[in-house]
Amino acid sequence: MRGGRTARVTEEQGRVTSEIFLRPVDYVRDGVLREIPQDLLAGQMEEQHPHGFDAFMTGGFCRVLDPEVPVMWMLDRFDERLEVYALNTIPTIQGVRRRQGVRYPNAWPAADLEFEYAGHLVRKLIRLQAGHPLDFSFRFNRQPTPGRFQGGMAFRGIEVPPPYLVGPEGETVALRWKRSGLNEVTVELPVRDWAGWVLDPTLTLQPDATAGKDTSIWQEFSNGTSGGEPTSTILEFGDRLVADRVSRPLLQFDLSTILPGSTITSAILSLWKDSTPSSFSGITAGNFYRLLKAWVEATATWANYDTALPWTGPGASGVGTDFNTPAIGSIAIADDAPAGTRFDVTLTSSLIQEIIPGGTLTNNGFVLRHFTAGDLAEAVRSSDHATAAERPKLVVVYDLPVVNRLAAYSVNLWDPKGIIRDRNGNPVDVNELHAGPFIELLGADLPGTEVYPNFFQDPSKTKISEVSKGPEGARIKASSSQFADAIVRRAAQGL
Amino acid sequence: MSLANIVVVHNPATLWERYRRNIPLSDVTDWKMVEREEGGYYSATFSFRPKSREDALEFLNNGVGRISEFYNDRGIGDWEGMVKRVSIDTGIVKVTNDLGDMANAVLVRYTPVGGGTPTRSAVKTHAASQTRFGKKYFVLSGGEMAAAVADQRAQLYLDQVFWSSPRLESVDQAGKFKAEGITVDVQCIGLSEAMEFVLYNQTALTGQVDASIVVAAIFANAEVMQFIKSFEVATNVTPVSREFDNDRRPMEILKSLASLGDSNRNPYVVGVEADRHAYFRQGVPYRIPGQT
Repeated sequence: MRGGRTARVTEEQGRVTSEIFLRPVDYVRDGVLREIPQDLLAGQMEEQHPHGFDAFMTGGFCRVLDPEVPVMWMLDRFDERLEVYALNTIPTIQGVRRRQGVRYPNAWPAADLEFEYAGHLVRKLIRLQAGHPLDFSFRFNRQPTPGRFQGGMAFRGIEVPPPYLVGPEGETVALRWKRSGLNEVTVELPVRDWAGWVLDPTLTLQPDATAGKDTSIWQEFSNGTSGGEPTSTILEFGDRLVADRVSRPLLQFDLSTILPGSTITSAILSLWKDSTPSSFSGITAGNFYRLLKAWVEATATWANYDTALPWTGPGASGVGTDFNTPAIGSIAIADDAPAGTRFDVTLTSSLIQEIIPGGTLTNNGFVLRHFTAGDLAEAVRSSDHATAAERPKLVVVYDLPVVNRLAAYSVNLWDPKGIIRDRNGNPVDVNELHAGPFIELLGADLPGTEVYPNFFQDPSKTKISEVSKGPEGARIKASSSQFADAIVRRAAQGL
Repeated sequence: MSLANIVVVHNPATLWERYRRNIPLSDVTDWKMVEREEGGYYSATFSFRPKSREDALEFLNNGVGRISEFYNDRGIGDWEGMVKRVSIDTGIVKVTNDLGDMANAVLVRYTPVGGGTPTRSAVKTHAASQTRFGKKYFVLSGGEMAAAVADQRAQLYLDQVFWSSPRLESVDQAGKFKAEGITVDVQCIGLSEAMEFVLYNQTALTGQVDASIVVAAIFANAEVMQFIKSFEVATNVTPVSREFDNDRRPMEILKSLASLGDSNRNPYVVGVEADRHAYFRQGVPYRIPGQT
C-alpha cells in the first residue's frame, strides 16, 4: 500500500508533469491506482492495516496492537508517510472497527485509545477510566517540527495541535507535548483521577497545507448579506441579477511539492461544469487572478478573507492588495453546455512560476472574477463534489532545476575522508561535482536540533559556491541561503 | 592575571532554558578578548576541546545566543558577551552555526507603486526564535511595490532565516583529519554589539534636545535594552536631533552621539561593561596604578 495522491506525477528526463487535485482521489496498492473508499468498512482490508479513509487522505490503522509491528496508524501524503505508534500499550488488544474509525479498548490499563476521521481531521481520543496512567507517549517515524498551533507540532503539513483534556461537561484542560526522544513525544496529565475525561491529542490534516481548498464567496445586494460556501459541491461565479447576487470562487492547490528552481512549462486548470443556476442563458466568462491574501476556506466571505480580517475591497476586489494582476487565465462557459462538460484553462506559466516554492509570491491560490455584464452565472464542480474525477484539477508541467537533476550532495561531518555522496548515499566522483545551489549536510541526529531538524537539513539552505579539484580530491566551499540572498536582491528591484 | 576559565550560561534576558557550561583553562586551546573605547566589551574568541563528538555537536547546536563570561585566576570577570558563532573543523569538514545569519523580525522599507513616501511593511516575526535568541531585526530595502507584496517579501525572507542552525561551510578532501584533536571554535560579541540586533525609530517627538536626553530615551527602549541589566547616562547638553526614522541601529546612533563630546570638548564614550551594565559617560584617561 503506498501513498494517497492529490497529485499524480510522471517524470521523463527531468521534465515533470503533476496532476494536482484539491483532494486525494486515489491511492497506489500493488502498483495499481485505486479509488479511495469513502469509509473504513468499505475499504479493502490489509493484513495489518485496514485501509480506508475518505477523499481527504489515505492510510490505515493497525488491526491488533502488536509491539512487533511498530505502526499503529499511518497517513500517506504523496510519497511521504507519517507513522504513529502509541508506546507502552497492552499487546494483542484487538481494534474494533467502526465506519470512520477504530477503537482499542484498554489499550493502556484503564484507558481506551480511539481513532476517528472525518473531514479534515483524524482524532486520537484517549478515554480515561479510574486508575488510568498519567502519561501517554507516542512515537513517529520522523521528527516533529513546531506547528502552526502554539505548543503543537507538525510533520510536513500534518498538524498536531497541543493535547487537551475534555471533561464530562465539556470543560477543557490545556496540556502540552513534551519531547521525550528524537521521534517521541509525551503528554503528562496533572496528578489526579481523570476518570470520565477524554484526552484529545487531535491530529489535523489541514486542507490548505495538504490537499488544497476551495470555496465561493457571494454578495446579495438586496438584503446586504454576504457569505462563503466552503462545503458546497459547486463553485458559482457570475452575477445573478434576478437573485441580486454576485459570486466569486476561490481555489488553492498545494504546489509545495514542486522543487524550488523548477521551470514551469505549462499549467492547465480543469473544471467541470455543473448545472447552470436557475434559468440563465448565454456565456459567462471570467478571469483567474492570483490571490494575495491568505484566505481561510471555512471563514472566507465576501467581506473577510478570514474571521475579522477584511479584504481590502469587498469580494477580494483590491487590485495589488487582494489579488495580483495580470490575469493568469480565463474561462467562458455557455449555459447550453451539459453538466459534466470539462473546461480546460491554460494558465500563464510565468505567473504560476512566481507562486511555486522559492517564487516571489506566496501561493494563496486564485480568484475567478467574471467580466461579462448582465444576468449571467455559472457553476463548476468543487472539491466537495461526489464525483472525484470531476473535482478541480491542475496539471503542471515543469523542468526540474538543473542542479537538482544532477544531484543533491551530502557529506557526514565525521567522515575522515570527506566523501561526497548522492541522494542514495553512493559516493560521488569528484569529476561530477559542480558548484550549484543544493547541498545537504548529513548527520542531523544532533542533540539540540530537535526543534527545527528539517530546517537544518533543508537543501535549499546551502549551496556549493565553489568547487576546486586536485589529485587528492575536491575542496568545496558552501555558503548559505541563496534564496535569502535572492529575496534581498529582488526586493531591492521591486520584484 | 591570566584566564582561569570560561563560563557559558543561559541568556538571562531570554526565555530559553537555563544552561551552564564551565570550560576550564585546561580545555581551552586558544582565546582572545577585545575591549574598545567605544563599545566596552567588544569581541572575544576562544577554542576548546570537547569531551566527545556529541559534546561538540551539543555546543554547535546550543551554544549560539548564550552568554559567555571570561574569568581570571582571581575569579574576577574580565569579559562578558554573547556567543555569536560556533564552528567545528575536523580538518576535512567544517560546519558553522552563526547567529549573524539569523533574523526573527523582518520588514521591508519600500516605495509604494506609483511613487510616494517610502514606507514600511508589516514586521513579520517568529515567536519561537525570539523566545530563544531575543529579537533580531532585518530590514529589506525594497524597490517600488504594493503593500501586500512587501509584506510577502518580509515573510519570504523570514522563512529563510528565522533560526540559527549549523550549516556546512567547506569540505576539503585533501585536508588532514583531526582524529583526536577536534576543537570547537567560538566567536563572541559584546552586548554593545548585540544592541545592533534591533532598530531605533522615534518620530513622536521632534526638534533638538540634550544628547543625554536622547541617550536616556534610547536606553529606556525595551527592545534596545533587551540584553542589558542596568545603565547610566551622564549629563551632556550638546543639542542633537531627537527624531529618528531611518531604521538605524541603536549602538550606531549612540556612538555618533558620543563622538560629539560636550561643549568643553571632553570625549564621551558609550558601551556595555561588566554585569551587563550600559553606560554613556565622559571618557576618563586610564590611570596607571601607582602613578599620579
